[in-house]
Amino acid sequence: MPDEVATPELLSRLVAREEGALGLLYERLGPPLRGMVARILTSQEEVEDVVENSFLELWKQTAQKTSVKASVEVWLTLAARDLAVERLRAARKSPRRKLSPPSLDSAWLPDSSEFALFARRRELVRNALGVLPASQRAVLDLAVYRGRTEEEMADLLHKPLGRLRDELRATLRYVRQRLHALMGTWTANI
Amino acid sequence: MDCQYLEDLHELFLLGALAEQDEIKLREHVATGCPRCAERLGEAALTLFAILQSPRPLRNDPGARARLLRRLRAK
Repeated sequence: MPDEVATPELLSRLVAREEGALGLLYERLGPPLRGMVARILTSQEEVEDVVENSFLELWKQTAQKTSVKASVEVWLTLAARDLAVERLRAARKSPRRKLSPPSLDSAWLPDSSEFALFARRRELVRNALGVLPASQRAVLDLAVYRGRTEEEMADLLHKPLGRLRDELRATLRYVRQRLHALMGTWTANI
Repeated sequence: MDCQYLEDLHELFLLGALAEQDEIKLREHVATGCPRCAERLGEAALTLFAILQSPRPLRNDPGARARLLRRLRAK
């Protein structure tokens, strides 16, 4: 059964080029990715395609590695979001640069211990996000799930760019500060 | 280099939502190896991860795993 093998162990097997490990990771980590990508894309076929492409990208990026330090959960989530938003932007012929998944080698990616701490407090984090006012959630959704830039959002919402920026950045600062409070580990100056 | 003025940009940078000049500024600064910005990017990644975990998970389609492995072998 997939649940009997820990994710870090599956990742080690993946690095050792064991195809079955990719399938087991997909079974385990696919559902939250699919839910997230379905918030971005409406076609079920495209959702499936993006989720599969995220795992195929993971396979590609783990080639010729001996280990992976980054949290695979965080990396897959950011990668799948980028691949999905890239399709949205292509469909509306956005002039913005192409989005592409971050490198799994990026030193700034959270590691598995940071992810584990987050996972233990997942519900608290979800509740904190749930209390955001509707107007803040709407702007956040445009940035996160619709792939809109600050300039596009200002146009869409008929707001001055400076005001839109202030509101959006304040919302993200709030979310970050709530996470700090709940996790109590980051050392950022907030 | 003082990068306090970049403090609120990292989440938007990862989302690809910044205006081009802000994005270039941050990218160039990160490339200098600024430890504070590396830390902020990690924090931003976890913040976005938390937000992106909000949607309800959707169960895998039956046969999806086999399809993924077929695509892998076809590559």
